[in-house]
Amino acid sequence: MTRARERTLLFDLALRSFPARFRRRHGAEMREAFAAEIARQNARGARSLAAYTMRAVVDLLKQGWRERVRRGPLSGHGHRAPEPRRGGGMLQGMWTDVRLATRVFRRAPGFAAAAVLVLALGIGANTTVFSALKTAILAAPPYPELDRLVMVDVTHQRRDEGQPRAMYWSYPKFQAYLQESGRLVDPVAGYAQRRTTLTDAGDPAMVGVELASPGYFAILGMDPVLGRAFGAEEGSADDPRLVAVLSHEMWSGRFGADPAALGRTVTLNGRRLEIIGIAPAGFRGLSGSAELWIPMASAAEVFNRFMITGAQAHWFSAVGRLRPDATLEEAQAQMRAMGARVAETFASEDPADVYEGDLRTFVSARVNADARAAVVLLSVAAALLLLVACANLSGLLLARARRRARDGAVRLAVGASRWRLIRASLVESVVLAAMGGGAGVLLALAGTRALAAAWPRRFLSNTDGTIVAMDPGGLAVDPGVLAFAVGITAGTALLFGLAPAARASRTELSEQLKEGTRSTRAGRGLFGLDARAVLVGAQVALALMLLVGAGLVGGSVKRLLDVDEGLETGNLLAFSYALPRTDAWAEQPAEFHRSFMERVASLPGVRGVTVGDAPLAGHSWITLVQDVEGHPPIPQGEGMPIGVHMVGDRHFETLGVPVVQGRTLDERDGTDASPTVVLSQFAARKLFPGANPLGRRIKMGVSDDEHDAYAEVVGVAGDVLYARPDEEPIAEAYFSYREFVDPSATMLIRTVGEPLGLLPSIREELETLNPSLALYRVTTLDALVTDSMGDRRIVLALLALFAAVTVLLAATGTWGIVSYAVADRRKELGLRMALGADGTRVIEMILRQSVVTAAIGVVLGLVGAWAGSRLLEVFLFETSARDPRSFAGAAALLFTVVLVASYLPARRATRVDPVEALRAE
Amino acid sequence: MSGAPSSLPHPEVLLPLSPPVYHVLLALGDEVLHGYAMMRAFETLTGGAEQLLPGTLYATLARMVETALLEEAAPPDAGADARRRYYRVTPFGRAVAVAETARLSRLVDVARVRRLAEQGG
Repeated sequence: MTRARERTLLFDLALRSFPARFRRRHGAEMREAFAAEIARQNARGARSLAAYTMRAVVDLLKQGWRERVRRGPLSGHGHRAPEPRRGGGMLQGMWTDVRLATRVFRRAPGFAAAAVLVLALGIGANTTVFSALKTAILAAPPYPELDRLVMVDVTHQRRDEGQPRAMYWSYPKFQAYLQESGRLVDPVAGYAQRRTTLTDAGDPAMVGVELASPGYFAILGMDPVLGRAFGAEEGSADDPRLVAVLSHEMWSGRFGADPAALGRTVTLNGRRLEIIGIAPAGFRGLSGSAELWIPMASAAEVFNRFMITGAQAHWFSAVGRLRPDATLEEAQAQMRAMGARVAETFASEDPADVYEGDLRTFVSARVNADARAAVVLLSVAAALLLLVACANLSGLLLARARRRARDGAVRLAVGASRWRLIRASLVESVVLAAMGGGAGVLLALAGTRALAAAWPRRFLSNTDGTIVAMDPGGLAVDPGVLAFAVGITAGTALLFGLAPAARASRTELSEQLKEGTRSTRAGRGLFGLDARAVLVGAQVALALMLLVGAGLVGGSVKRLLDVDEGLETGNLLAFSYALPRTDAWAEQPAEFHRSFMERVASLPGVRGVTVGDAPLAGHSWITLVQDVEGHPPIPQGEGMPIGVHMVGDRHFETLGVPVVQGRTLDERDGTDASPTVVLSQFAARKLFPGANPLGRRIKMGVSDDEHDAYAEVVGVAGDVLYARPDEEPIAEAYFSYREFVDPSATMLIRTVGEPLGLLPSIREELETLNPSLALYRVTTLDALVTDSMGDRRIVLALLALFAAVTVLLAATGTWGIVSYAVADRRKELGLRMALGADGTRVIEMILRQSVVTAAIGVVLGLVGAWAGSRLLEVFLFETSARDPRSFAGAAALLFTVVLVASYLPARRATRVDPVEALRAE
Repeated sequence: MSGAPSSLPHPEVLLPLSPPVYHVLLALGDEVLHGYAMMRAFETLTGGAEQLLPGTLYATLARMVETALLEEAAPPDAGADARRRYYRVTPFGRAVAVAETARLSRLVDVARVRRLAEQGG
């Protein structure tokens, strides 16, 4: 019985979700029907009864809510009497308030649009940038027990010079390290990333390959989902197994996710490899770009024998797990000793070289300092924008509240309850916040997509490129961040929407209604409320900080754009290719390069073809000058670094690089005759200062022994930038491509029209010449120029955008606040003018207040920018972080903005007819 | 009823009906019933497979009266509970119910062609 009453009580409570009018009409009958039904269900058993009660109550709540929000009969048949407004349901009243609020905004669209825009910008910008921050820095990599995952390094140091520097392992050294007993890092595995050609199972393609030693998958907790990982038998280079583990993506893409793919083969760089396993979906190795893995021990078979035999061929990284009983410090100490022992086994030719070992935690090793700096900087900028947005919004709401205080008083006077007034303001703020929040979410979604597309590739991995640090595909709006940004801005809207309303509802009616008492009260400064001056000052200060930042980075980008690459970049196509070692052409790569160049040169629309490194894309080969004939001997390892290029016969002509002395390379060079070389101007100046370099002979470490012979300088060509423009320039040496047996090359093609438009016909030529060859790194020089400043451009674009928005906000905010302040003082100003003050005096008086506020804001902003400009340093190029011009320029601009924003409303005030102004009160 | 038949829309305009509306039309048929009787009748007619819950039922009834699908009627006999409201389907409501039934049976025909109507199919 008691239980039955409880049920009825529950039902009664739920029934209250219906509007009162509905309850009065149907409530009793519903209660009765429920009671009757309960009795019937009770006869069927307790479970049936409980289930029915639950369903009936949920149904009541749902229908009651719908009944409340239902705005009227379907389409005008029948008629519903207007509801009596006796306090109504709480929800019903809220709904009315919402409708009222939207009506108010429709009548003041400027205010509503401004507020929504400000909210949307604040929320959108912050959500986008902080989501990126989370992905780039805070998101943990997906590997288990991260704190025990370490990078194992050999370190190199010149005796008594600098810090030990982590370097790659060589295979023999790594094997020696693995032999050490009692390692505190165990297991440990080597890995390195390469790109090479895959020629069966679909179209030939350049694929990312990781060479990995046994244990690699287990260390990362990424055991194959099918088949197996490399076992001990794949660890020996004496008996290399030609096997491969495929990425889940390649397995799906090329084998249709067929389990029978295990045991089948793929051909990589001309070698057939048996598929033994499939990696988990999404795993692309530590390098982030592996499509398949092969055992490190098979490097000699698939790539190059030297990779296995060369004790000084340092080419891979190592990752391992700390033993559970070891601390990082112990293991580091042990690794230093082990590194030194390993180095002793392979003594360097140079006694000044000191080799040791070290450990870095995986988490610290994967950081890209530049990317982190960019994200932190942008986060600071976005936070400033958010503050300005909040200040601006509060200004808007305060000004509006002041103008409406009288309305409120009138409504109170005619009998509205105070709560009702506050509630109306509250609902207005909530509606505003909801609209702004919605727009902000849309902006954040679009912004995140745009940022993922524009994020520089250099920022995706750690500084040395061995560990992927960020997956741009993983960049998505973060719900937590979004909630935070929405919370902050919506909170501002509520606070500043509600506070004035609460105050207004407390003021004495008579005071508000007395003609103009409030607006003529003097002694509180032009802005009436100190809050107004604070808001203007804060906006100016914050906007100034962003403006200085944008100015500094903008100056750097301009200087980078002004950098002379040393060649004509327009209409220049570049791509790379590598002949697989089992290819018919592999024995005579120079012959292949020549045939390919000839075929491409004969295509219509081609003005010139050469091979060589693409400018701005980085060097493919840097070595040291070992000897200059007639100069004192150079101690081992201390020669000048020099970039080595193998180039086609029409290289300089095709790229538009001037040959300033001597001759260009041609058919005479690189055959049987003794080696010849063309130097860059920079190299000639460094090696032969003030002397004629032509005919002189130099020797540089060009690995094939026969070419370690001296090469005669036959020409000097203009300097070309091969590295990014902000890196130190180095000397360059050009040899004929016939000089080396190099199966890979980068082809550069000067075209008449759009460079990429030529690709299809180039691929056709390739199809007849060598159908198994894949082209990769296809790009244009113009794209490379753009890329080379990619990170700065995105930083600049976002800073500039944020700065522009905040300056705009500061301007409109100032304008709005001064406008309202002036409007408040209409009577006073009118009186002054009626008593003979002229307009200029009045304008002056108003401007004086703004100048003081703006000056304080500018000073604070300059101090803030000065302190914060250190954050910018990594993005600056030939620009000081304290560049006075950027600071002065930004300050002057903002000062002007504030003056103009104050002048406009001030001038309007003087145009008012004094008599009108007095009467209006 | 205030609405003259000429001012009512074509029955097809209201299609498809929401399930509760159609269920009420089915439960009432040609009879005059109060809410709880409709709940019982509907459950019996569907062999206990379908149920009308009080919240949905009464909200739907109010809306159907507003849209002229139902009208309130006098209690059918003198012994009826005076506190209860009795309802009857209007001619317009009946036309709508017929149109909805035709629509549904066309769909069932399609389902048969697609061999979706077999038991256990």
